[in-house]
Amino acid sequence: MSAETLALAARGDAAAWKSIVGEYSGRVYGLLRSQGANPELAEEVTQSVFCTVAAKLADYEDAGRFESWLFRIAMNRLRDDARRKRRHAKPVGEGEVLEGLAAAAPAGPARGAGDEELTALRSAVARLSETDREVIDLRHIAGMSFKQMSEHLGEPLGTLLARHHRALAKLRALLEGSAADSRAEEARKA
Amino acid sequence: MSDQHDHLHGLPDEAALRALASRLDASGRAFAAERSGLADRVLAASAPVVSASAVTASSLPFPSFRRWGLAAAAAVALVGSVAVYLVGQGSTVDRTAAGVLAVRAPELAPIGGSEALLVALIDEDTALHAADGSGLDAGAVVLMSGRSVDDVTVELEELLSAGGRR
Repeated sequence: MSAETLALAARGDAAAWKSIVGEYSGRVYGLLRSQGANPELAEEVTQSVFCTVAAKLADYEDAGRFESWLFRIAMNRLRDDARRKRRHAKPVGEGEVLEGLAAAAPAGPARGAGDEELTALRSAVARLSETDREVIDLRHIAGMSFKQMSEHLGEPLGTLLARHHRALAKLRALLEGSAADSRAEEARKA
Repeated sequence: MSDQHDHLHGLPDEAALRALASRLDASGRAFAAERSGLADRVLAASAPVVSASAVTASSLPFPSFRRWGLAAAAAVALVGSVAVYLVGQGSTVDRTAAGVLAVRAPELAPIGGSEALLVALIDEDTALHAADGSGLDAGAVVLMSGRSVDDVTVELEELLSAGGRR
């Protein structure tokens, strides 16, 4: 997002703010979904995040870190929500959360053969370690560049590239393992 | 794809990883498109906030200026708090150092120089009631004023003989 657009939005320019919302609302929502939020919660938190950004934008000084700021607010808000819920609900293990996430079928309007593949992919991502999932989600769901991720996570660019490469390799191995399991299951049934 | 092509020196084939990355990108786009009208609803909720925020901000147009303003206000508040604390602490220290002398800020007639310092350090009532100076600890005053014992003793005597004020 250009510094000019951000400055305009900070001065109350409706068109500039609309372009920011158009550019990022889906990505913020997607990141929240990938972290296990259900569609309703993800939308609620997304709206809350943009209201926060709108309120603070006038004080924001652009240093090329808008994305990092935005996604950090989103993640913190989701953690706050989870913390609040933990106070009022029975404890849920991390495994159950991941299972719930993996079981979440794509809720988009287009449903078809690709849905199964998408579900398998998300299920495999959910089985990655937290650190591997972090780079995958920031890169592919939030749509951050490696440079932005480097600033966001405070890690050198080279380290992040290596982490991403390793995470992809692990994901591929998980997918291949799942596919082999499915084939074995089908063979047993036949 | 064969295993031979799949793995080179133990690393997965880059093309396969790129394909996987593309699938992940598609997954991200699918998430983003999951709720139709999301951007409109987010815009409806946040646009009034950004307008209101901009109006408020316009009273102090530059973010850095506002920041400096807030920093200055915070600094003044901090200095005030520290000053109040130190004055309080100073009184305690004075009392401790002066032993039996109860020190407070006396309402003084305008006097100057070392007398002002001495009167400020010594409780006015104590000074007035100890006509011979026995109730005063000149040594403590020396410590606090940095003056010689003789000077302080002489000035105390002069001050007491003058009834605490001149």
